[in-house]
Amino acid sequence: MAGISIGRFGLNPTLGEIHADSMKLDGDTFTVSGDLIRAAADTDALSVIKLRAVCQQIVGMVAAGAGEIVVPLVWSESTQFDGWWRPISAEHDLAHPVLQGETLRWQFQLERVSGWRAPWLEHRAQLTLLPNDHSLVPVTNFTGPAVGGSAGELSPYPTGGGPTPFAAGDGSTSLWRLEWGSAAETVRRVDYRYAGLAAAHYTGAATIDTYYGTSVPSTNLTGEETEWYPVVGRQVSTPYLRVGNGMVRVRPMDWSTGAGGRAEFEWWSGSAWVSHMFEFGSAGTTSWNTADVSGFGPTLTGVHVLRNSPETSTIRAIYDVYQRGSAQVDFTVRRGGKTVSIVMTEPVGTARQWMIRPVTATPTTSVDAGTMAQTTASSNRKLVFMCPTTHTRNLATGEMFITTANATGRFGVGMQHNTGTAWHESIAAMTAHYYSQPSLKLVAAGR
Amino acid sequence: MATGDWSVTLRDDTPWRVTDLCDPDQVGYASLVVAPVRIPDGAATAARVWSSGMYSGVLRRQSQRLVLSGPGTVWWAGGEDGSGDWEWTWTDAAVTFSAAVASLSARYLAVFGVPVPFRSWTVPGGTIAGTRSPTSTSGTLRQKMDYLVSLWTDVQWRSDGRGGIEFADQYGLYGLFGPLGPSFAAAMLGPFADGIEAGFPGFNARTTAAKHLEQYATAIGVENGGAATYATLTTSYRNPVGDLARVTRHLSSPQTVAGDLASVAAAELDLVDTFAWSVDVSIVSAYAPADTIKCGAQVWLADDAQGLFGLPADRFFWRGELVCPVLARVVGHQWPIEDGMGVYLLWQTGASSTTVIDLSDWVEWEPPGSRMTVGLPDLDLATVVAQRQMRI
Repeated sequence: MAGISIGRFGLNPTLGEIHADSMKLDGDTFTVSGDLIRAAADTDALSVIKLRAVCQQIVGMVAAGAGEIVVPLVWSESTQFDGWWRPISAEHDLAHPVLQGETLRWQFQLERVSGWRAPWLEHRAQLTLLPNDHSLVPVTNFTGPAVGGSAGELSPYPTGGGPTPFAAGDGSTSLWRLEWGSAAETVRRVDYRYAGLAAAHYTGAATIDTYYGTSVPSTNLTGEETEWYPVVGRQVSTPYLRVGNGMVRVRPMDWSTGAGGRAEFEWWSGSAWVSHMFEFGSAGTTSWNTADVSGFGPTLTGVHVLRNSPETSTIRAIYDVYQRGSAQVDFTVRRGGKTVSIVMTEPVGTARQWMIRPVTATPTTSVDAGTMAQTTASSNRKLVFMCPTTHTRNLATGEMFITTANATGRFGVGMQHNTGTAWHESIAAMTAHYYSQPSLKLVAAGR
Repeated sequence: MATGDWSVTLRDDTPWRVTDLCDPDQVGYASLVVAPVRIPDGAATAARVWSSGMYSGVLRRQSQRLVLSGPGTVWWAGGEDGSGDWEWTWTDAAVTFSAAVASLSARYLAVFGVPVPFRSWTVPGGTIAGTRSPTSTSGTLRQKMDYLVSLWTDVQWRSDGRGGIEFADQYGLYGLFGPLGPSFAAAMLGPFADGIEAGFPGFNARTTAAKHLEQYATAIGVENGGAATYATLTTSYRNPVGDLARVTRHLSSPQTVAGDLASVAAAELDLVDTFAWSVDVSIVSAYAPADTIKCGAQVWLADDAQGLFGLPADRFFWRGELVCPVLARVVGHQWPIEDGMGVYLLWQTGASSTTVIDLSDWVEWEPPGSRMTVGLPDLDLATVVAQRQMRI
């Protein structure tokens, strides 16, 4: 599309094209600015909601802990500036974007990254295996965006041993996945560098969206509102957040939407988002089937961003727990993954029996001690449920609960895309992305 | 400010009758106690103030009427300059750690006719194996305390913040029992690590990390006047010629009996047998971090940008992702006296009468943010504060 995009700002087609009208290049410092207009009549005009979304994307770029150390810039009117830059400042001059006819002026100041057109993007993963009770040691993998070619320029530097590169397209998202596996390599730090196109950096990226509408958003089961827009950084304080990567998506929910103590997990069917509701709970040291069960809800008391980067994004939802205070549930989605990682704890650290189950009973089949999959596919896709801790499962309903009390409840929910192994869609390949779980971070850029 | 020392500044408008009560001439050697909260006026008895303390010190100086300062309570065992009663001996044969601790205080009582000048003297927990035969021919009580803990591996003593001394390993002192996981340390420190998760606190902190081999040794020889006994290890480092590196350190410990030299050498080598992290940590802003992170406690450090990466076996979930932080020991902690704390002088007016002087209304509070120095996971605190002679 035309216009300019700096990081995620200007990238979302629903928000419309953003155009810059002024720029200054001073050595390696680039200052670029433009107007956004709030007016119904203007073709470039934005509604109040869209202005809020765009304003958040501007200030979020440099808020503390923003999560992206460098951002790609793509400018169709002036492609000589396309490349990677480090945000120094981001500002706009409108505090309350509600008045019709008001013009909002935005400005970014960026510093050139060395090798800026195609720098090495160095990613570091601290370790590669989720501790689990099932002796699972899956193939480890690292996923990146389309880089023009099968795997673009890729220079993996694991500490010891060598991976087997295996570029795998993934339908419309054009990702690639590097896989390797050997017992000796499963728990250690790895470094990967790849260089690719600025325009492709956000393909399949982990994205956090927030909702700016005035009504309470409903789920896809009933027809979803459209006013969800991507968030940049952590500087967002609406009560609704969801995290996804273009293939799967998850959103914590509360009573006000008629579904307490729950989360909506969605997968992309190829043409639409398909919704599955899950609910959570925890029990004390007595058996699960007694009265000491506390389902989460009814109120989601807060939700905020822990990490927002294209490789990994995490949101934390604080659920009210009946007569116990609260529980913190962290939802993490990674680029190229078809699983959502869910971690539940209580702030005071009490050991509980944790439970997750689909709201609608879903018949499942055991795959291994840590994984079970929906028995019958729909639209070529199956729900997959994972739990790294020793747990009890109900194959008829899809319920998993951890019977030994633990301070942390860990689960994964995912989607198996049922078109065969060529595109690494087997359950084994898909769950590998959950059980081998590098905490990927972009740590350096330059060449 | 030296290790263990304190300083409190009172406000300009502090009444004279309050500053008169801080005059070292009248209330010299009064104990200063800092509590994490103020105790209501009517309830501030000496017993309650002591039991609430998170730090205790000794008043020795009043400067310009408003600035009070002095050393920590440990000063009563002997100053860092070696001051204190030094001409007394302490020997015992084949005693366990707990017995040695009790024996030292019994010996002090026998020699000086009064108990040790601390409100408690305990081994709070933990299991320390082995018997030793302490032989101390001279030295202050403090030097004897350092000597006692040098005989066993990874034990230390500490001031409990309430006028008492505790002797134990890190499990006994900081309550860090149990399997590996977050609770193996007192807190998580790192950028944006603040919050509490599964009962485990995190503090937003900045780290300056250095990794070094400056204390590393391949062999340590300990002698007590005669030939040295060596503890050695097999190294992987090599010298420029290509042979295995020889980095030998000399420890002179005249008060160690011959039979214990090997244990002391092994204990010392255990401290320096790997590279060390030397890390400064600044906590950005948190109330009374000293209440949670006591000096000597273990902490997790998670700061990717500084290259802090711990053992894969220590990995656990933190803020939704798997982290692999470094386990470190806090060997120094400098923290401010902040608004909300209680500051008290406890003036012992007689053998069993104490006057409580509440300074909390008059303290010039300091801004938040503390600095800690952390070191090797198993760095013995006594190594840092004891007076030893080590030569390269």
